[in-house]
Amino acid sequence: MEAAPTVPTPPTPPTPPSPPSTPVVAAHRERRWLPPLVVFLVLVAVVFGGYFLAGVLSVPAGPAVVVGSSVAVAPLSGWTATPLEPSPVTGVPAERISRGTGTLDVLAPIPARDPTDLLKRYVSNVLETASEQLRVSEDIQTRTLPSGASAARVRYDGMFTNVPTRIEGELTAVVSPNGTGVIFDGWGPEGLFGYALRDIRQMVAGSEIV
Amino acid sequence: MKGSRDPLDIRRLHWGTTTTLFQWRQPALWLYLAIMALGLFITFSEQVVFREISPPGWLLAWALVLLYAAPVFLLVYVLDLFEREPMSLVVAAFLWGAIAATAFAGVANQGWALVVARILGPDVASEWTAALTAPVVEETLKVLGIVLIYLIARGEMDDIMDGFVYGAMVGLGFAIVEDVFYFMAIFGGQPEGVFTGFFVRVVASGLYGHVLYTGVTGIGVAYFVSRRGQATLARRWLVLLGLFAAAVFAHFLWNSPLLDFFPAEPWSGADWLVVPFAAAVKGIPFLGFVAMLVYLARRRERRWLDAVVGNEVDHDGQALTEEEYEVLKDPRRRRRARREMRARAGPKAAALLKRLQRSQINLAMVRTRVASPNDPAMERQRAYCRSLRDALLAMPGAAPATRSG
Repeated sequence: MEAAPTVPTPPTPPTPPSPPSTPVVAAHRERRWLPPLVVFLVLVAVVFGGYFLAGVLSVPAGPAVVVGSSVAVAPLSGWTATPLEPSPVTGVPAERISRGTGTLDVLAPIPARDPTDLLKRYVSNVLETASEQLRVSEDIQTRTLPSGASAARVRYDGMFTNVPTRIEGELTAVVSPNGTGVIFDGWGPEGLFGYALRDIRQMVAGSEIV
Repeated sequence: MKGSRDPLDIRRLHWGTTTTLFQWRQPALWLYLAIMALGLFITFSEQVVFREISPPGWLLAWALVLLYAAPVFLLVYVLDLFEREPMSLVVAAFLWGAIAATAFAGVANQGWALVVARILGPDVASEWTAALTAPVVEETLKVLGIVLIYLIARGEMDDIMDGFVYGAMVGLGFAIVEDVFYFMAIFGGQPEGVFTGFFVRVVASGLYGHVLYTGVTGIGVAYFVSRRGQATLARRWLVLLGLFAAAVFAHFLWNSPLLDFFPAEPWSGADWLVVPFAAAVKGIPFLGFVAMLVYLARRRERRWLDAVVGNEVDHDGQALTEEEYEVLKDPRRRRRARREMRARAGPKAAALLKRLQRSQINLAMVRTRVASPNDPAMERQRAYCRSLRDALLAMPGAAPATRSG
């Protein structure tokens, strides 16, 4: 009986060895906490430094402006105050504090009991009569100023008479415990107003009803 | 190339030392995780708002930016010719840009915008805030991510290409989240607006921007940390701060009203053709600068390989033939050699050839970590290379390919 021819099998390749172990890099023996701490401090400085510096730079410059013998507002550096003719609508003294296109109109005194009511009266009697396409934010924010007076605040935008660009603004009505009302009407061209808003809020917050 | 000898000090390289992100004993890792957790909270809150603006627009925005990010990620990752960075670190860099840097940049930019408005007034601020605040704030926050990656795995950043890879990944992560922000908050968030934003920010401008800025800064960081003992401290600082300043300047130019040839909105007709041109005017000079840096870095990597394994061609151990060395230097020729091997001798032979090529590169890596070419570790690696070649030659059909590379 003849043996069946055998099929030559391909040579089996030798199994490659496992990779040799490699030397271990010496571990760093240094102060491992210091560099991450520096990273953390730089991060904090970058994230919060702007707010801190802006606060330092926002300082009252010059004497406070007294409007209608009832409210004192201290313009921040760079802002200038100009008296306005009493509004034909409200008939109360007014002062305009401005820097570039950022403006804060202060009207006082206005007899009032409630800041929300004063705010609504100003919107309907002044803003609505002087503007087209006026939009006022629906939610009225109420708060107490550092002076103890209660305040109500809304945002608005619209086209106003004799102003070529669309205006946006923030209106704050403040009423002191003895019933003296003050209107703070901060405004500026749409898109620019945001750059003046922080200063305006700071001047409003720092105002004192005499 | 066997006659070429590079005088560079190869001992400072740590090729082949693979480290993952998870170095639990490194304080830098814990700082990274803590900042990321806070950033994730901010980013998540922002994305929830964007999703409410328009769910289909939001999904489309993410689909489009990921479509852009995937090839860029791959391209940057493979730029490092001989030592791919560990994926966990690369992903960590990407996530730092996408989550931590963007989240904190949003907060920081607002604060510094107040400073600009306070100093320059609202009118100037409205035009210049983006140019004066974002470049410094964002480039700083992004570079902190590169520094943390370095602190977590110091051995991984041993040449300037490594810095470019990590930096570009941070920049890519930042770019895609910022793009989604623009699509949703600036371009309206509806699908039509998202497509418009995609055209402006990715199609017309995608070649320029954060990937380049942070890539360049990453080169500066890598130079600073990898040139100890080779360059003076003053020179290392000069390179680091110089490249950081170059990135900040390019970013400033992009954000500023200078050289602004973008047509006034709303765009129609030929305006859409002007947009890529306007973007190119601002972006191409810096793109050219980065391309030159990357070219020089890659050429330097090749020089390193020459310096490290060029001697091996002559070495008695014969871990590397001259033909193999010529193939090894060129990634495309390595891939072609494996394809030819697969066609001739099958996939197992191609896989073995790949192992041989990798072990020969590892030989270079081992050489960077030992003092002498006769170190026992080098002998072991040479023996391993030889055994792989023997195994390959024993496979039917493989021998000619091995000899020809």
